This record gives sequence, structure tokens and C-alpha cells, in this order.
Amino acid sequence: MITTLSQLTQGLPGIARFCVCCRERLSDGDEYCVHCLVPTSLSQTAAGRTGPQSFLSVLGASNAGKTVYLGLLLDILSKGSEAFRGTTTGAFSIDLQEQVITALERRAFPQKTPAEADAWKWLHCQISMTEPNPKETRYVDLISPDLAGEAIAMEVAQAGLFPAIEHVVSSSAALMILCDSIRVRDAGASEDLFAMKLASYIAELHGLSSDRLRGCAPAGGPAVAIIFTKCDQCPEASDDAALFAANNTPRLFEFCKRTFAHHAFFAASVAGSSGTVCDDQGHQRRVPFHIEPRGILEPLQWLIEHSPVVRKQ
Amino acid sequence: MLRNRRYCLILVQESDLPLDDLAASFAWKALQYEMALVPEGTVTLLSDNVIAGSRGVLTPVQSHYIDRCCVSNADFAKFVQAGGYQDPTYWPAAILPAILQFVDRTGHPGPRYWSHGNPPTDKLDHPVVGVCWYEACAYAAWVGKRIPTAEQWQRAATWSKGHGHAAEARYPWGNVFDPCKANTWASRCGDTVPVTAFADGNTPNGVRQLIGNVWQWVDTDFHPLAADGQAIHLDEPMVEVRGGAFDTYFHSQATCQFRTGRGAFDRSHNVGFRCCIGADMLPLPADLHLSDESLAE
Repeated sequence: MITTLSQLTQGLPGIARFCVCCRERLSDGDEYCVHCLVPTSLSQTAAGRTGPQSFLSVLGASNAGKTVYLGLLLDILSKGSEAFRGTTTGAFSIDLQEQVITALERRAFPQKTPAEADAWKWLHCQISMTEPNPKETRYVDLISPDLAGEAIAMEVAQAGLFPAIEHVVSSSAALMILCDSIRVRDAGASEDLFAMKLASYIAELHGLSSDRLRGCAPAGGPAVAIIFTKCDQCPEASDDAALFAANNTPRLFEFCKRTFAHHAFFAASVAGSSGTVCDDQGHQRRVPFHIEPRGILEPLQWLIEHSPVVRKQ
Repeated sequence: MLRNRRYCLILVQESDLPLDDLAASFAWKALQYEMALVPEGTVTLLSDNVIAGSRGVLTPVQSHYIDRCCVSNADFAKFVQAGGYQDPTYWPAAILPAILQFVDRTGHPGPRYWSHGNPPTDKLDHPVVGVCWYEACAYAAWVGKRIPTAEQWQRAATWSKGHGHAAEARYPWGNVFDPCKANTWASRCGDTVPVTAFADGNTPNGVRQLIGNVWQWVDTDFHPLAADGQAIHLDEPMVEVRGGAFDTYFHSQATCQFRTGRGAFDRSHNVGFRCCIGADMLPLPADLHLSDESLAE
């Protein structure tokens, strides 16, 4: 057992370290967990923290806006008020924030997240919430990867392809499902069906099944926020997200009602207005003309309030 | 007419009513109180190049008067109560059918976030929002003014340091952003504030809130450009908005020079407007036979 720094510097074997995600033992010198490809730096940071820690899963189809949402969420948290603030615990967490904020300020959306697990950016931050009367501060550490939509789709279709996703989802007390509100509105049932796949994947990993006899969700389980993104172009979603869900994603709406005791619908957007850039080869990409975030913080606040992971000090 | 802030109609003598010199002197005083003179000059308009960086184009601007404050809910209520939405005089013929859709939460003609044709009672002195570009233009026509062009708006907002310092400042108060001088995301208000708030951000001649609180419609189409070999397609025709709003996230997007756009029919929660009138449209006080004494009264 090594207990002092001097023991470490005398060439004795290192302290046993475990992956924060899959709990597999990490070998010395490994930059990533060989099992799930989570960065060792994240596991080291998490191991050095006290207090409650929780994974936050942000799931959604490719191009649903997961990277932008997470990066902007982190930036808003870092500039937050005493009432609700987030502080990153390591430089690696700032990578995602930097990537997203730099792109948005230059009127671009960030590059797509690569499907390879070792290229995903992870965030680890401490959320502090202070209530004025009586003055009371609660803390929780959140850990969340910026998962690639393609990887999520492959993992849902064939469980085990991406162990990190399985471990993160099964360890998360709070989960977000992001749905592109424009695709929901314009592209038929595909977005509804994919979101329902994600919801059932979550339910399966958390051992939940819909209580069909009673028509209601079993007690307990994780808190799930369903967020309709890009609502700057779909104001119907922001007017009443639950009604929008009931009318336009009826399968997901019913599934959540029957499966998750704690779930809620939200709408979010990042751009104030946007356009489409087309090049000579016919490639298209959206560009935001200016940034005015809406509904970014509310889902997280709701999730934290409905997850048993906060502690009082 | 003065009570409804339609003094410009008196000054340009577009009213059918017989108005005497006393009315003209009151109208002139109202104009001087409500509007600020922006002297002629030039501004550097950045090309609307979204993708490949922007180049500046020096653009001349004639002298004009611009509203010191954005149009408030109370101001706009007078237009609604006067039947402005029902009077085709103030609307382009092409959009007349669309006016039926310019209704509030309860289906009455009026800004999107009002109820029963009335503004929220706790926001009478806040800028009117939830109005599209056409509604802004209709109000401006009703009071005998117009919406400023992009260059008029920018000329009103930017003040160089005088001779030898020709570069326009980024903000009405200087080049460094200060969240105490403009209601943007950094100010943490999270909503509109009265049109007279944030007085520290006034221009030297007393124009308020050119930066922050609400984006302001201007009378210039928004045509963003892209790099060579690329084109930008807009989902709908867009009109420029200027100045940033209470929820503008980057202060680099709430400068006097930043150009962006909204759909002309957008009735957004964070877009308002102010009006202006060309100085050459107004008779000089001498032409109205107004002495300095009568103006001083």
C-alpha cells in the first residue's frame, strides 16, 4: 500500500487506478482505458474528487446538436451566477467548450464529432447551486462525454460495440435525449422512432419496463429530459414542448409516459437566425448569423432537481 | 397628434388639420426632446461576409434625426388603439393579406406577446417586441417617420474621437465592452428593461440603448456573402437588425458594426425598433417663423 509521495518517487509500484467509466483497472502509461477508451486523465481527476459524482448522458441522432448543446452548456455554466454555476475540474474539459465557443463566435457550427471513441471530448465539472434563504449550497460533479451520433446509433443497434456508451448510460442518473425539432416537424416518423430507440435503450440498461397494466411508469429510475433542439427554426416546439412532443413524436411521448417516472420535455436553440452555405460540389452546411441561446440551462436544472445525486453543505 | 408623438406630421405639414405656429413650435420642441440630430458624415459598413471575413466600405450618410429611445409598448399601443392595423395606408399592398396574421396571443391585432390588444401592464415602458419589420414600418409611417437604414443607424451609434481618430468606436461609449452600459447576456437581466435604462451607455448626444436590450430593425435587406465558390441560401427574405439584445451571447455580436438579419415576418421576443427622419425633410425653425424665444418657452 502506497500512502506517501516519497514511496511513489522511490520506484515502487504505482497506486492502482480504475477507469471512472467501466471500473476496469488502468495500466501505468495508458492514455486511455483499453476497455472503453475513456481518457485516463478523466479517471485521475474523478478519483481525486470527493462528494457525489454522476454521469450525464447526452444522446441523440447524428446532427441533433449534442456537441453544440454540451459546449454551450459548459460555457454558460462557467459564467453562471452564484445560484447555479459550473466549474470545470480539468483542462481537458475546456477543450469542448473552446471548440464550440470559438466556432459559434465565428459564425460556424463545430466539426462533427468523430465516431472513434478515443476522439471524444469529455467534460467534468462541479455544479454548485446556492439558495438564498436560508443560504445553502449544494454540489454535484457531472461527467459527460460528447458522444458521436453515429456511434450511438451503432451501439443501440448492436450493444457492446461502444462499451463507453453502455457504461455511461447505465451509470447516469440524469439523461438527455436531443431531437432535432425541424426533422421532427418535417421528416416524418424517423426522428420519433430513433428517439424511441434511445429511450428503450436507456430503459433496458436501467432495468425499466413500461407498466402496461397500470398505464404508468414504474417508480424510481433515472431522470430523462427530452430536448427539442434548433427551436429557433421551429417556434412551435418552444411554445409548448410537451404538446409538440405529444403531437409530433407520439411514440416517444407515450413510451416515456409509461416508462420513466421522471421525464420532461424542453425546447432549446442556440442561433438567433441562420442560413445554409452551399459550395460548388453541392455540400451544404448551416451557419448561425448570431448567437442567442434559449433553453440551454433549464433541462440541466430540472435533471439535477430530479436526480438523487446532489448533496447539501 | 403631439400626445401620440406624431409631431413630425405637424412639422412636415402632412396633416389635414389647420395647424398654427404655436402647434409648430410645440412640435419642434417635442422633436428636439424625443430625437437627436445625427450630423452628416461617413460610416464604414462591413460587407455582410459571413464566411470569409469582412471588408469595410466607406458610406456617406446625410444628417438625420433619430429617436433617442426605442419605441415602447405604450407608444405602440397608441398606434394599435388608433386602428393602425386596419388602415391600409400604412402597409404595402403586397402584404395586406398577411396583416390578418399579425395578432397577439388572444387573436387581436397587435404585437405577438400582447393580450386583447394591450401590452403587459408591467412593461409599458419596455421596448415593443413581437413585431415584424412591416409592423415597425407601419408604426413609423403613422408617426410621420421611417425606419433608419443600416448606415443611418450606424452613424447614430458610432462616434470617432475627432480629428486624427477617424476609426469608429465599437460601442457608443468607446471600444471596450462594459455590461453595465448595455443589456446583453453578460448583464444577466435575462429580459428587456425600460427603454430609458442603462443610461451610461448613451451616445454623447443622448441616444439610448443603441447597443443591447433589443435588436433594432433597420431599413436594409440582409444579404450575407460567402467565400468564392460558395453561396448562402436564406430560408426566407431577411432584413438587417442591429445592436444586439438582452440575450445576445457574444459581445462581439453586439457592436455598432455587427450586421445580422431576421426574417422580415419574424415577430421575435427580442427585436424592436426606433424611428428616424431625414433632416432635409424638416423645415428649419426659421422657416416655421419660430423665434428662439418661442422655442425656449
